[in-house]
Amino acid sequence: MVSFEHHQPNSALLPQDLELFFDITPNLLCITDADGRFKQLNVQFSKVLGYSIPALVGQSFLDLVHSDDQVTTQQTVEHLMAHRGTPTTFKNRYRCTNGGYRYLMWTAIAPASQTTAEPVLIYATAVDITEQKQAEQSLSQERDFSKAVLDTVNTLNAHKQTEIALHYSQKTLASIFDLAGEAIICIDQQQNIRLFNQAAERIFGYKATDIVGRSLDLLLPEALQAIHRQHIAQFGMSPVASRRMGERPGQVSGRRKNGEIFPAEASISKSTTKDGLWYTVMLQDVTERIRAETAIRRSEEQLRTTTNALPVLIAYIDADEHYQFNNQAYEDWLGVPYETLKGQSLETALGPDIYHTIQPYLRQALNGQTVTFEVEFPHSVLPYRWVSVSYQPDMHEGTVRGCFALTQDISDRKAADQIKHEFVSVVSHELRTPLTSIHGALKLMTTGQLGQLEPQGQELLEIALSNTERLTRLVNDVLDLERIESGTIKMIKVRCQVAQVLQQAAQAMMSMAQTQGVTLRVVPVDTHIYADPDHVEQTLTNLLSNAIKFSPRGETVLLKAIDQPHQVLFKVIDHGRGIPENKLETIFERFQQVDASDTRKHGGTGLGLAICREIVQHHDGRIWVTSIHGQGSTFCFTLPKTSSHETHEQPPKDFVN
Amino acid sequence: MSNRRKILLIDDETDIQTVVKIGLTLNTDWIITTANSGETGLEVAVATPPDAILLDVAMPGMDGLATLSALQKNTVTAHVPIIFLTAKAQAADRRRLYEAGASGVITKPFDPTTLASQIAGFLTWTL
Repeated sequence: MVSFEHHQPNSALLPQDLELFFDITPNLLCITDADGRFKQLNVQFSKVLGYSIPALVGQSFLDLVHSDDQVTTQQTVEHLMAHRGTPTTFKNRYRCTNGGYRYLMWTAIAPASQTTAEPVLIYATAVDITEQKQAEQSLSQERDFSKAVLDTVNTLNAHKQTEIALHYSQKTLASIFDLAGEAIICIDQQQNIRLFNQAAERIFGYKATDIVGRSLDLLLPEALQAIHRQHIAQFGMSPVASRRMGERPGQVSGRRKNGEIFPAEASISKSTTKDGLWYTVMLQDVTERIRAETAIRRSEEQLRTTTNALPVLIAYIDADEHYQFNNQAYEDWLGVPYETLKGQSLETALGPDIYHTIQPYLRQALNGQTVTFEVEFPHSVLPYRWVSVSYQPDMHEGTVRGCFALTQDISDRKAADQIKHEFVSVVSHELRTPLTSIHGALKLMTTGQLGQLEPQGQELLEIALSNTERLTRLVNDVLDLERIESGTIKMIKVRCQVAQVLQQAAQAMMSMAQTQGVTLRVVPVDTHIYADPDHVEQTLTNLLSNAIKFSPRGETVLLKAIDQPHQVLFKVIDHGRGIPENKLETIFERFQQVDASDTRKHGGTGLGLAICREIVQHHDGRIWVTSIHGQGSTFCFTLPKTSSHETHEQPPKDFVN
Repeated sequence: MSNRRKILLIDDETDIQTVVKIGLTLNTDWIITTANSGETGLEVAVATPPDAILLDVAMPGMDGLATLSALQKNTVTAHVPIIFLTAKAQAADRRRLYEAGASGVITKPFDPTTLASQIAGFLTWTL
């Protein structure tokens, strides 16, 4: 299933790549809400059914289901909602824009949602099985008619001495012939036409009355008449009772009354009648089918061309970890012709090093989970050092048949990230050295121990000092933010007591609160989080520092935590000037403050909230603010109680400072 | 001679040397000696072992950790407590310095007016 992250926009390039995969798959993919209204559809909906995608968005999935299939489809959807997280497969007929119907085989799932607040979505994929259905139908029709013809001919033989029986049987035969969907032509040993049904009339353009008694040659291209005659004679002598004509469908040719030659699929059977050996030819005009097959082949070629043109690795891996499809990009990576990979096991194709690195993720995908990861192959001799991989399981009737794999070389991006990271690191370090000298010198001068300055001189000195301090904070924050973003700082997550973290953060901000004449009140809760305590404290002190800074003297800043089923909600509430509505979203961006003069007046860096957001997001949490301008703000963030990779509780390893 | 404490400051930035020197001499009676590199610092320390060494981490040539290691290996200087001055403020960086054997770590930019009490705190000296 394609999954969309709701809270965690991944900085990797994958979403648009997934989007691309969404577009090029031959399957129909869609997402609907709990009421079955389309939210998102891929381009196949327009290709297969003819609808424009925007016209379908918001429409009900059920409206287009064939009325005979409505009830069962409705029941399946109810089953789906009742068994969340379990994929269900079902078939129905689905209306096209031209009023016709296509047979679709659907696999759908309504994933179990994380929180009750999250809306339920249904993810569905469908395969067009119309051709298959038609082929099945025509095969069974052919079987039924062959049987009926032979039965009738046998009846005819058994009762050939009785005129009445003969008459009766002839009538039965004629009516069966005329009901048949395909041409049925009986010829005698001289290869003259004896019976010609309605379908034959339709296909060849002759009336039965015009052609019965005439030679079969009339229905054949001239060039083939002689050889055909020979074939039929040979068949007459062979021990088999019936056989298909031509090696492949479409290899037999017919000639219409207007001279047009057309491809056909035909079978021939023989039986002995009172008039000698008769042959029955059953024939289907496959012009349309061949055209459709050519179109399918062309669209397959197009898909092949498209996937080969893409600079990403696209593959299908079956449940036994063997490649079943690879695009040409695999040549650049593995250095072998991509066609040779089909049927190879991943272990053989990739070598043990790479295989063992990706195997755990692959197992997850083959267990039915969508997996996305970035991985480094430090010892690989192959050109891609860093890759970003996405596996999407291919589910069929509750079992995983394999998975779609999308792999992208991100070595250049990683190298650029590394250079950027080193650059920021070096610059920050180099800036700190002169800042140390300037700050130290100014600090010593302000003490007055080296002689008193005039009041104006002292004021200028203090301006220089406070701005040096601001510059230092800025350098520290830039470095901090860069390190958290790049992952240089690892979040060391442990189970920690919420009350203790709140207390430590409040303690750290106590002196600032006292200086500003603001009361700091803590409402703790007896629960735990799975987080990096140092970084949670940094988030809390950043938020508290803002709250204190913008609170009028005598006001109270409230720090509280609320226990929720899977997470803990933290709130920092102030009664300051608040944040205007148009700033609520951007406030967490870098250098975005309510008032451009805030950095000067309040000594902030404009990076504090960006750091908070990074920290919270690295914990798979969410951060936001609500505010009434002029009345105060409430900053909220959530942190999980357990590791996102484990479903069970962590062992009680309490964090001790 | 007097029993004034002797401090050796090893830092390649002469401006920082000056700031440290003024900051300490304004608040203590300590005798401050300076060296511009790890190599020179080692020579000075071996020739006249100080009571404590303030050691910069990032220096060309022998860096802070290499100098610390050399000082620890020399019997004359092995017992001298070492306090690092570093621009790297991360907890992990500080932990690494303590693990190497530092008696204290002071992050840059530092406050020269409280530097003496910070050093005394690490070494449990009374000012």
